[in-house]
Amino acid sequence: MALLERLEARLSRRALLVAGAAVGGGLYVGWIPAGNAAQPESGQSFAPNAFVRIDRSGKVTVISPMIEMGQGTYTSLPMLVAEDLDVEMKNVSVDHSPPDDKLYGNAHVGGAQITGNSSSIRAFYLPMRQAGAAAREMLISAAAAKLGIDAARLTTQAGTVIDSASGKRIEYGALVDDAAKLPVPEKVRLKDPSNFRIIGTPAKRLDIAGKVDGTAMFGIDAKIPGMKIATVAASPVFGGKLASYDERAALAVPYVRQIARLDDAVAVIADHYWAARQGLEAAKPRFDDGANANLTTADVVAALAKAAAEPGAVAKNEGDVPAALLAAPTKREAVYENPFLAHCTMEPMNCTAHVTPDGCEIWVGTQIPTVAQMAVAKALGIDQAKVQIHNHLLGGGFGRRLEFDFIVQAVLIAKQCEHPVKVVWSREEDIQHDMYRPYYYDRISAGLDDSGKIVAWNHRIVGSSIMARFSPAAMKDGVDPDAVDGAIELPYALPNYRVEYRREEPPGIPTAFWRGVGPTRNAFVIESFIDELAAAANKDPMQFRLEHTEGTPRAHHVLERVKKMSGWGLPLKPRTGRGVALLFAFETYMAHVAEVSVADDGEVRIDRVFVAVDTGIAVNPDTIVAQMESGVIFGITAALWGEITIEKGRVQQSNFDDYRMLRINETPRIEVEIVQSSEKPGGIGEPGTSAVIPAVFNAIHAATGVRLRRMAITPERLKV
Amino acid sequence: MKNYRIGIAGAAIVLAAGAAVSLGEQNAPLGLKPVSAFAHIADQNARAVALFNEAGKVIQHPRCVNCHPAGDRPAQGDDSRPHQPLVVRGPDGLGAVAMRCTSCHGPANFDPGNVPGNPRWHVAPIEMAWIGKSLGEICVQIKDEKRNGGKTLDEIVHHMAKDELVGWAWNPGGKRTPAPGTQEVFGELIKAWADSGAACPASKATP
Amino acid sequence: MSAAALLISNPTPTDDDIDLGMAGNICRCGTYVRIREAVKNAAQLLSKTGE
Repeated sequence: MALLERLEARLSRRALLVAGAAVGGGLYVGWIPAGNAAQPESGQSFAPNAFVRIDRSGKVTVISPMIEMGQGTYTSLPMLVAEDLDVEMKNVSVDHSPPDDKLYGNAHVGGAQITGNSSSIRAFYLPMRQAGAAAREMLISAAAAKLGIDAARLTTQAGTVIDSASGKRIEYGALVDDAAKLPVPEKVRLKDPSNFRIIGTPAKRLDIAGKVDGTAMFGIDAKIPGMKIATVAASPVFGGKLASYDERAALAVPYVRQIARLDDAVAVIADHYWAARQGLEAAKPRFDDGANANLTTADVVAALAKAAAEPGAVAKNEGDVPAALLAAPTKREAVYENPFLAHCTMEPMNCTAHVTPDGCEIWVGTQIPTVAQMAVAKALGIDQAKVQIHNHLLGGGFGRRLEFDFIVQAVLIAKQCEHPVKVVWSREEDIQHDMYRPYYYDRISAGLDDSGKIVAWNHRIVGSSIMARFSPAAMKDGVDPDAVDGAIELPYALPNYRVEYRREEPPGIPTAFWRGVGPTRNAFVIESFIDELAAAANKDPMQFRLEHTEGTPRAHHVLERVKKMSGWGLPLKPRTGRGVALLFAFETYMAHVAEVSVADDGEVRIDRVFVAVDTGIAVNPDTIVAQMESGVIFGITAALWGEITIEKGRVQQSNFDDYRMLRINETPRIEVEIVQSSEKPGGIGEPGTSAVIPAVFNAIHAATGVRLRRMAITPERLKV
Repeated sequence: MKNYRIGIAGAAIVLAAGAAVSLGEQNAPLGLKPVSAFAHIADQNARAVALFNEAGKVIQHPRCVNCHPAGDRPAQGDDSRPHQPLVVRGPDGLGAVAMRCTSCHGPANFDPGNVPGNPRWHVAPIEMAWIGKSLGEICVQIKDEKRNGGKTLDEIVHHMAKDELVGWAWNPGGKRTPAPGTQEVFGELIKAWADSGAACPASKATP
Repeated sequence: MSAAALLISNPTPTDDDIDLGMAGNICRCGTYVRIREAVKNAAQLLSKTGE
């Protein structure tokens, strides 16, 4: 069935469009996602599930269900509306959506209003287009009534309804009041892709102007009358409690107003950040370290290694792996480790809160407005409806802003004041009180037959379960779906295929989603190991992968493309190598080749990265290239220097001097090719990071013969 | 910008108190032997060389050599790794045209950011490169008026004993290990070396 | 601001000049490739308008 017909059919069967008049005139059209369908009660004006608002001047405002954190949703989602609504992007602006799971829930992450998992386009490709199409049809109907002619005669162009026969034209703005009175069509026709004018073009980002002229509002920019600014020190040892602090010394610092005390932290509230910071230093807080006072990274790893010796919950079991392994003429096995990683959003954690007897108002940048609302309501013991959240642009999310710890902390501080309080974490506090990508310890083994084909694949994944905390309902029979994401649907021919997950929690250390989530950890392990198998089979790593993807054409194709792009096989200088990695994750196929030079002292330089990506329908190709560049740089940073270490129960890293970030002079040349595809859209925010990491490790092996099975890449390990 | 100026003033206050604190927190600095420890060496040249070798503990300490690079890029840290981010001496030793040393290094150490500072923060001219040279080679270089900024031996002695940027090495702030001893003792060693004829240790290439 | 300072002192920066001028600025979202292009674009625009 052609995509368009599938779209129409899905629309009429499964969901309901609602529309209505906007306050002050205009047209609201929204889409209630299937699963959240709420019929408006008869006799009552409907609850607008508004994605689109058109005012009398014809200006279109798209209310974006997904927050903008630089990844481009505030352009791509409006593009979808604009396409089927038939307006020009220059007349479109975008607004934050208020917290509302019913209206803005993301079907790809269980229906809550969560931006993450590279799902914004996947979840809202249809709903946004349908909202635009429905609005357009209602405007046409309104025009038909106004002109007294049959709607079938009318067409639209750039925000105008046109009757070519008579030459009459009516702008959308003139029709909105009438359109708002009309019933919402039950079936809308989406534009055929061959007629796309906006989707598939590198439309200019709608958020850039504000970010350049300074009017863009990030959470940290919130300015509320009467607001004071606080900074906070929480127990450096995980699980520790606040014991004492010098209140007098802190209050003696000019402009310090108040000290707030929490179980595990002290906050200094002042007129400005510097005073708060100095007040905190004067306070010299002391903590009872608690049970984790002597924890080290080695302790965590030892526990993981022990757990890895035991069988885990079965995530996949095809064929008979033990027998196939036994019979295989060639076997390989390895242990791979993914270290703790910090997020380091450039905008450090911050939240502005005002707690009053009436409730709580919050200004913050968050990926989880409704979950945060619930958490705050619970922390204050009040009704969720009494918690107001104003979302903002995010200066980086990467999964850190999928959490509400810093929001609840700010609320508990604000609760001790009458005025609003903006709590800002220092960079040191941010790095040392992150919720880290967990340490993962994997045992992987495989068997090859005489022709070098994989005949058995056995992968045991061990680490903290983020899902068990974040969304327990997603756990199934002990398997954390994120932990095995990117490991159970490999695009390779694997006749006997077993994957297990074993949960092992590090004591006290909070763990959370980090860009690329499960696929990032698994891609490092799997794509590095595939290279080890290629070597065992005496095959070129690219060739080995091509042979194993003959049954998965989209995977095979991106490998072919990247092979060409990178000049795979052409000679390179000594201590320079190429590494390849293939990824199928977030419903996107991608292949990377990294070209790396290793100096004699072991310093690694990534010279070039080539990416071939098949992400189905490409809504905004420039955004896709941007996310590839962004993901690659994020991943290279992690591959080279990413390592959070624990000593005496506390994180040793604190700022960018000891948690290093890639700089402009260290950035490789990045070439991206987007495969033209009409398949359904895939996710693009995260896979770039996942795929580049193993590509770099494979390139290092090609350059030096050294196989590294753990990040970070310290030069000592690669010295000549 | 306003916050930055407040910060520097604040840092100066903090530094006065903090410098002593941070020194105390470091590993006890290696001492410098005083001049009197060399008085027993009868031979003038031998004594001069011994004095200069002792002074060499300062001259070849990371706090000094890091800003006396042989190439364009200063070093940092006790392991003298390349300065992060990339910075270069530029046309005048004060940094690239669009990234001057003063972009980040203020007139005083800024401990909250662990950034050292001094009013004259800059990279030594290339003719004063010390990294990769033996102490003997550095000694010859220091005495050579063509390579030491046109200084006489007396002026060298004064420079080592009194110059404020040289003195920074003993008050580096933050997590940085100070140079051994004190500038006073170092100055006395250099003076005694000069008074003893200023002979240089044997030149041999640093391995 | 770094880019503005760079262009004031060097209106026709090479890639290496841009690296030297901008190495102090970290971009966590990895837009360096575009920053470089933007600086070059700005240099061209400035040379045209003479501002």
